[in-house]
Amino acid sequence: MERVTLAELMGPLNENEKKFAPPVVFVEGNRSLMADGPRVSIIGSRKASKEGLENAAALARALVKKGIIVVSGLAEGIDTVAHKTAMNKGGKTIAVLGTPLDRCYPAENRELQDEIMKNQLVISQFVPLSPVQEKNFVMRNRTMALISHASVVVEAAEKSGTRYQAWEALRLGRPLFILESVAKDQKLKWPKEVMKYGARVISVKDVKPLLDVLPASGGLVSLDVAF
Amino acid sequence: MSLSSLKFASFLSYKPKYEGHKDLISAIKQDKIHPKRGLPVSEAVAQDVKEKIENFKDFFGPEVYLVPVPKSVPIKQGMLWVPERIARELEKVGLGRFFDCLERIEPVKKSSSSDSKERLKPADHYKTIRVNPKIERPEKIVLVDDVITRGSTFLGCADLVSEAFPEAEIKSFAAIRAISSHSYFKKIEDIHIGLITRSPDGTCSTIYCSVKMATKRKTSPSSSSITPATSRKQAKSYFIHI
Repeated sequence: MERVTLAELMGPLNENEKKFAPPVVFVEGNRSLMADGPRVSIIGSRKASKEGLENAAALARALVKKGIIVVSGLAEGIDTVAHKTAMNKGGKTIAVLGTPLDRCYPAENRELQDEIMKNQLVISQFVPLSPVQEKNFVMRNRTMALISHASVVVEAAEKSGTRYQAWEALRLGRPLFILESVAKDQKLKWPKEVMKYGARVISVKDVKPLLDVLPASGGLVSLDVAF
Repeated sequence: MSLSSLKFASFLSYKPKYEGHKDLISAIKQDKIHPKRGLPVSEAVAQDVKEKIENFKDFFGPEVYLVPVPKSVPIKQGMLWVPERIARELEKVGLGRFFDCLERIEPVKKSSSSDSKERLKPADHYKTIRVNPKIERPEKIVLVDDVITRGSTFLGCADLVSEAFPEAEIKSFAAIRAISSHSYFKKIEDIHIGLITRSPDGTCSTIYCSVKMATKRKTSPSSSSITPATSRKQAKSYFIHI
């Protein structure tokens, strides 16, 4: 386990990015993975529908195929499917935890967390042995938005914690996408609200609009030579 | 009021959808910290414009009101608004006075993601942006944006601003210009001065001149390869139409 600043992990932060950035994070795994390609969060409900889980898997497959690193929160449901699909397809994944690195939530994802720690990258902003509180997951969602170049909401109920990441992505000026099935769900009010402020609708069958807005790399390669 | 044209300046250039420029445009749109300079891109651009002011002297000065162009969607307080960041940084280096008077009240589809047939017109922006009343009477206004493609957003904003401040001379500045015809692209740092013109169908196009960079040692006005355009007809003689 290493204790690093987010700036060490992902490059210097601007004032807007610093607002909710944790002062330090704890990481386990392959740190260099952060520079290996653009990072996209796949986020959504713990109690996901069959369609939601299928969409999460299809999206993870499509992103891995393009060399994109799948970021998610290691929760049950959408997150679990996103991580597992990315690894099964030979891709890369980053788990951002709502618990310290020495804990696992849900407990049944212990093996998955260990595998990601060993071969991929796990990040937590919570000090080892510290208690796990409800607010951790909101803080974790904001951190996920920050380390991701874009976020995609696969499924989320009206009161889902996923909304925090959606709003944080918009605040940071990061591209935010919601799947068609979420946008068309008449029972939900939040998708219409985030769309008013810039969220775009995407289909798992055509991820080009997402690919178009991503940087080419995990770093700022061409900026170095630009001016 | 529908203006027939609007003068613009831009500092950098890029080719949309070209892989090699994706990091650059992503960094500009999120005002990332420049890895070598340790500054937000907005601040780096403002400093460079000040350093190369010979090329922009018709655009900036202490008397100029710098008006950030709204995003394509409304914003909530605290959301990143890059044109606002650029305008504030230009103010910090003494190139004008920050003047926040435009607000998007309804979202419009993003210009950069629209295909050419669906591309937004100045009227689409005119209808979805409002001018917040101000008591000042600016004589010179420069609209400030992060990216210029065809200039529809600028021209829609200029229409609104010219109604609210009829005495003001209005120009526009963007940190970076999208060069859709890739054969016209020369290099990233490539200052352009040009005109945004309104076509009969209400869409926009730009005619521009790539400026031969002036250096501090040059003192004669003729050392710059441009002269002020007084009409589109005159401008056409030395601008490239794309």
